[in-house]
Amino acid sequence: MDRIKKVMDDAYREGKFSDEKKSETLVVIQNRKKTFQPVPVVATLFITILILLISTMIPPTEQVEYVSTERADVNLEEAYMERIHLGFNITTEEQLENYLSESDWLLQRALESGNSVFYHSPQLNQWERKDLATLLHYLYIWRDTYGSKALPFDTTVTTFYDVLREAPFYVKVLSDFFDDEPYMTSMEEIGEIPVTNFGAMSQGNQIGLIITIIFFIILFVWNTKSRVNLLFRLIPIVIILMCLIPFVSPVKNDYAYDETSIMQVAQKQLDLDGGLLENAATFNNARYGLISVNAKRYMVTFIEDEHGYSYSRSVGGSDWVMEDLNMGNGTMEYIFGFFKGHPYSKVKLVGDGGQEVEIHVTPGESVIKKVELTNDSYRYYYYDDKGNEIQ
Amino acid sequence: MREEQEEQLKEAMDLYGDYIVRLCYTYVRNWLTAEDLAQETFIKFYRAIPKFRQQSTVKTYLYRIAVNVCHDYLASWKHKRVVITNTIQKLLSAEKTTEQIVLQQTEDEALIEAIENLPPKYKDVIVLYHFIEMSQDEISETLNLPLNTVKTRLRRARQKLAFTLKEGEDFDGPH
Repeated sequence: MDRIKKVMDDAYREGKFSDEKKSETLVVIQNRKKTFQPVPVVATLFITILILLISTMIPPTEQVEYVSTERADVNLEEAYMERIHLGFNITTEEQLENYLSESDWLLQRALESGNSVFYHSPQLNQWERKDLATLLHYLYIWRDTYGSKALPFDTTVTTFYDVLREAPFYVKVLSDFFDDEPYMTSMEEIGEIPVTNFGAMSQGNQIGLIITIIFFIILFVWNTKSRVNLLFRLIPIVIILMCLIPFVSPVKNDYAYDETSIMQVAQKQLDLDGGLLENAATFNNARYGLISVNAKRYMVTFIEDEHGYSYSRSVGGSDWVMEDLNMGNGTMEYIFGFFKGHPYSKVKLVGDGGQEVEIHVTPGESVIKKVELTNDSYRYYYYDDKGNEIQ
Repeated sequence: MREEQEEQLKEAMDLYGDYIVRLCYTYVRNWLTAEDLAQETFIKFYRAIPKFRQQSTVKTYLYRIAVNVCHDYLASWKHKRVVITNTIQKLLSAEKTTEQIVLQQTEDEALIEAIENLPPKYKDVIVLYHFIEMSQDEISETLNLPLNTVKTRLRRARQKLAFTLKEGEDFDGPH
């Protein structure tokens, strides 16, 4: 007899699969539910990814607080009616340019929130607030698109409460014209802002990342089932974990959706301690904020991307600053920001081609003005309230 | 269907239970653990019965499961923790030196010790060939290895045993 066989038989004679263990085994198979190791692993990873995906869609719950005021005593009803009359009754090119040169974004935000530090708001319910703000939004788009063409409804309103009553109808009519440019509240804008780096990725990259994760999950399961070397089992896990980093790493949030966020981003980008938001405006795909910190003054620019208005750049100045955006088709959009206490009443731009444009402002008042010009070289002339040129 | 499966399981436990426990013991050197691993083997076998297509015999199929269960156990943290605990206990007690133990061992005990200390890939073939009395073809099927690999491992395993025992014996198999 084989010696090894004999030795092992002798040594292991006592080894028995006892009757108790056999009975226990039968009980176990009758009670035990089927467990397949890779399934819980895949399920856990899948659920994790799903939760992270959903978390990218949930807006941050951070409470909005306002940090600055220059116009807290301005009555919202008066400011609103001034703007509505301006927008409703445009017959000349000059009135149109004047209307389009200013933004009512701060007014929209004041209506929406009801507690703006720029405007003193009357008691309104949330639907009235939204309708009034939406009307401003569509009115600007109408004028920007159709110029001085008459509005498609009766505009003989005289009081704020006339507009309040008619606003739902006006909004409905105008929204039919511009259904691809809906009004967005600041909360809706916040909802568009990605919370994680995954959310900030393009859709193509997101799909690519998810496919990569799924591929390596399958590879991991296959490796586990095939009992391959531990190292090869770990590699997919390491890659999966690396792929999951964008799901949990917070995105560098430099989006401006209200007055507070403008200040927060500006303070972060310009390394400021404190500061005052003097004015803010939104023109099409760009948003601007005028900020003063002691003697320093800045205009910060946010450019619209697929998630909202993202910080782009800033420019410093003393009494005024200027930004320009190339609009294509040979036109430029010039944005002038005048800080509180400035001495100017008029700025005249004279192009090399002879084109002349005048911008009228109120001395001492902070304002942001937009002018669209042909792509040319311009010289600037500044005048005080008495009409004297300031060198 | 379920009753049929249970009958097959009972039959397998009666026929191969003891040998499966002994096989597991060669890996884990603890009868209680060996019996637990044998139970795990039969549970896996029971679950696999619907997929079992008689391409191999129940015997080779069962031993394949048992070897895999033992390998998984040896790779587990549970086993590593036990090994560390035992090592520490041995170091603390240290009643007999290793030299003393070896001197007191009979030749047969030394052979068992040498087999149990073989690396798993050599232990697999030695145990299946000599103890379970499988043919090399059956081992090839059980371990899912090419026949030549089985032959090579058997040769090297015997060389290792001979070297360890310093006897240079040639361990011929039963087949």
